[in-house]
Amino acid sequence: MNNKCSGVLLAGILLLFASCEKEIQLDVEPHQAQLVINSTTITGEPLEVFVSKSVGMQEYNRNKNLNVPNATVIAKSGSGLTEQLMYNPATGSYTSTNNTNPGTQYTLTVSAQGLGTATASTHATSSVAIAQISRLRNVRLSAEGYAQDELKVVFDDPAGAGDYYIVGLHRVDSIPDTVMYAQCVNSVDPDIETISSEEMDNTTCLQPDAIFLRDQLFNGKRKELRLFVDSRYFSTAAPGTVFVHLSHVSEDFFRYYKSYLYATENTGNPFAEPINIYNNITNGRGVFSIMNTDIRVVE
Amino acid sequence: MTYRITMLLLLVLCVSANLHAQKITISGYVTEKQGGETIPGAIVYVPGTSIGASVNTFGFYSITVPAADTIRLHAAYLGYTSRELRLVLKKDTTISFALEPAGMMKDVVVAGKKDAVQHRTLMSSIDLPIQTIKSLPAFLGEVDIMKAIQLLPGIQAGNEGSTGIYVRGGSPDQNLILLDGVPVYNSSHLFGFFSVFNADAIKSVEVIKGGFPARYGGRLSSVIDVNMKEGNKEKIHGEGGIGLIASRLTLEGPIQKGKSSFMVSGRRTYYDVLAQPFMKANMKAGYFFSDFNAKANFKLSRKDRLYVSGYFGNDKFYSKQKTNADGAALASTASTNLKWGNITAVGRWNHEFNNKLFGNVTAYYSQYNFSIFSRMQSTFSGASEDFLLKYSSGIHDRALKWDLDYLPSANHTIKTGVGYIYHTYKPGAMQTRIASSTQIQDTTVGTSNLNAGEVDAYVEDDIKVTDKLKINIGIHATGFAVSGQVFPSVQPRLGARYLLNDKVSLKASFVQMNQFIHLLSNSSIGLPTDLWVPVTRKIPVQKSYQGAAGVAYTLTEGLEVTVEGYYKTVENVIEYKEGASFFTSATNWEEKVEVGNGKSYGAEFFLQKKQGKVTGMLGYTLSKTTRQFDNLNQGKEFPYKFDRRHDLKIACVFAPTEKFEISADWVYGTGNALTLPLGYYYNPDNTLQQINSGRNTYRMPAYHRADISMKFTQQKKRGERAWIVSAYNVYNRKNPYYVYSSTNSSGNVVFKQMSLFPIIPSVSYQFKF
Repeated sequence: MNNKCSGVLLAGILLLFASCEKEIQLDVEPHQAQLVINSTTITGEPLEVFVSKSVGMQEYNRNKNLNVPNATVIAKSGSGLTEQLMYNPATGSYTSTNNTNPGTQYTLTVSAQGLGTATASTHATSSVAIAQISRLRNVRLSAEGYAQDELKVVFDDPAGAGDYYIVGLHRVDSIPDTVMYAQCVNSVDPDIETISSEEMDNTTCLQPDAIFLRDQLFNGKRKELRLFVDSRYFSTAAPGTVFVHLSHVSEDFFRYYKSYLYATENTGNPFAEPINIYNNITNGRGVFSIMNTDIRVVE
Repeated sequence: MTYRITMLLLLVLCVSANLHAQKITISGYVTEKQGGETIPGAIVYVPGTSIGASVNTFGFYSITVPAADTIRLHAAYLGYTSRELRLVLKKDTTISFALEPAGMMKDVVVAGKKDAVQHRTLMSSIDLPIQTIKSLPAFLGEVDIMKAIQLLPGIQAGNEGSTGIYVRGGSPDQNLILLDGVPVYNSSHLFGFFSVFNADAIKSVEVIKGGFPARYGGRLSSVIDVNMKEGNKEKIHGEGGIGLIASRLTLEGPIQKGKSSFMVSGRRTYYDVLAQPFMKANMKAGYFFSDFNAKANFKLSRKDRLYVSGYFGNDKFYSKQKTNADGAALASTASTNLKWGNITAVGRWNHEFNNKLFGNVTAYYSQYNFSIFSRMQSTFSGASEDFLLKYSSGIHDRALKWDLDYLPSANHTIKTGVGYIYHTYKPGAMQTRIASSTQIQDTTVGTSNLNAGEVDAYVEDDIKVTDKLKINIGIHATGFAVSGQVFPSVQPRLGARYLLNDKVSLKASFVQMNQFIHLLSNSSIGLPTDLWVPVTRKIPVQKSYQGAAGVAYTLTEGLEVTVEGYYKTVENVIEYKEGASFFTSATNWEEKVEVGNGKSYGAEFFLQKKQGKVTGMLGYTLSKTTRQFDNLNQGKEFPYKFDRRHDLKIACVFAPTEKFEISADWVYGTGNALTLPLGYYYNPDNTLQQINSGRNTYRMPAYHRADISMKFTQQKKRGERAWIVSAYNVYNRKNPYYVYSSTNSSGNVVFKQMSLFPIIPSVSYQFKF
């Protein structure tokens, strides 16, 4: 009897706290569709631009194709060359016939019916090659007590301030199509900016595929970047190859990618304030960038 | 010439001395007749003159009157029968009053004119009688002081059910919540649904939301001054209640009759006890909160009194599970405890130096702690593994203060004091230990404890300039030292009252307030993970400047109206960076926040009926609150999350007989501000990217709710018994708790709201003896 009473009481209390969910109408201004321009062209290759459009929250449907195939895309280089990019239905992108040149400024003007005109500018970054990669084994222990190797990546920063880099490493195993990223990389390098721009110490977990550097402190000099990587990453039983990639990017791409990763890191966090990620498109969304990447194998 | 001046000076001194000789100072205490409890806020005055004084926190008053053949001295306070004495006084003397609660007598005047709202210099302050709080409808039968405070104008509740308060656009950390003069850092239980104050243990509640006197400092937006009962000095008395979720019991009585007394009070929830029978034998889990208040006071001599009090409150989630797979060699024990709570302890020694000078020394300790303990022990085929995780954070304060009340003449009430607080901040440390047959790893990460010293000094004078004009002028100075840096501040305070006639007065105030601590809060719902941190080089001192002006009017005795307008600016408030929260990976809290400014302005209307069979209050606030941060919302000003354009509250108590009482309230508020996703587009890697509106551009649906309560009282031989039947959210309004976007079955995005509380009926039983 006592149990029954307690049961009824408990059920009652649980019912009282039962929450309820319902669909509501909010007086939200209809979203005006905008042009979305995405281009992460490699310096020296033809411009490749993807044009799509944004869509209002309540009009969005995952099955809806947002590509804009009938846009007019005009590229103008700093040298005065103007070219209309052609649409390639196979890739869904607009491409130029001329190759991009390092150090040259490019401006895109994209227009499409009903979506207005959007513009974007960037300069093609010069080629910065990895001068040297070396690895010292078991140089220290991580905060968790695991052995770490020191990976030194050396490159020469061109003269002139305002160079931005994204360094990453990944491992390709002998099993086809298997790419493995280290969980965390540590460093005490003062040139590194974390995704959240927080202060860093030698235990801060850096995302291994995106380590952000700007040349404020090493402008025009040789840069030696030291990273501490879990030793097991290089010595797993399965044979594989570890690669280091160094991307010389524009400031716009640097800022875009940082904000993109930051937003991604907080996806699904109900306590996090929503973020609008950085974009360099006037009257539109997306990112326009021409960058250079060098990839080397870690021996 | 010199001779003439000397003679003139002598004449002035003689006249002055003569004037002094013609004045008499009367001092004493105002207490409750039945139990001897002091009555702070009571008024002692000479009818027909402008001579009068307020009783201080410890019940002491002092007034200076011209000598006369006969003096009428009147003592009054709301809810008590006022008392008048006719005295023939030749010299300074001590007169104490014992007032009788009005409910015990018929046809009584329960408030004197001099304690009416228009007479007080202090503006933007409300004394909330504990009886009124107890009469209002209670959520799940639990009377809650903080929720009663939410019914006042200019004070808003945050989320549904939360006890957090937002005063004139300020955030919950900007409220100085004092229990017997000791700051309480986390005033909520169960994620903010209940406050830590057990109404049975509380004597008085004063809320100040602007025009702060100089004696208060350290927070920007409000002071909630809560005082515990001292205990009945004459006889043992008790009260208690049994509710749906908690029960409580309070005992009070004399230690030495008429001289010293004690009060102890406890409250505990029993959801965990009820749920336990339904759990498996190998599982033990539950949640409870408990409060324990204790106070004792001693009359050491005619001039010395000692008060000792403490509060101990806890919230605890616990679970323990044992598994032992049949036939397998695996056995494990997992246990987790989350525990948080406040402890306050205070000793106060009053000394009456003479009938014009009253002193009080306070020594207190306050702490708030949050801890997580989690352990998993397992054995598999003889090999054992032990995983341990510990996390703790908190704040500890130790303080010593000395306050003096000096009443040199009928025209001045001077208060002054100094104090030192030693703060210890524990910003959070986590220990993980893994022990197995192959490894032992013990790691502790986090920021080490941070100590800070705070010196405060203040002086204020309540000056009667003319019979109509009174001003309260003061200054509060603070020096806050942390990490080798000192943050000094001097904060001016000014308040004025001009009496147009005996019923109407104009009031104005200007105050500067500084705050040397910040609260890192994830969600505005009062989670135990909320972290108090001191100012640093990067995160500077919070400052506010507030100007207010208004009219106070007593329509008829017991029916008061106040209308006030205010304008407040705040500097160096913090918000989490876009995307950041407690759960983001950044370890240093300073890196997670942005520093910015804000402003709030508005008008408040408050009607309060304090006497009669129908009592109640009506408050309306029209306000606007914004924030501006260089790195948020592209640097543009945006609405504060709890900006509320319209806020209306009505509360009413009808007591037709002594056996029956019915009360109801209705609240309406503009919906909370929120940021909404407006659209989508694709990133270069084909992931979907959300386009968000400007920060807090949109509004949730409006919030409104009505509650009702009925109390049936019976007088028994050994006291009083009462049944209380109440309902929260009577018309079952589905108020939004939060709003989110979701994809429906057709693949389209829609907005949905989550509501928390439907109609919640409850019944509770109360007794007094």
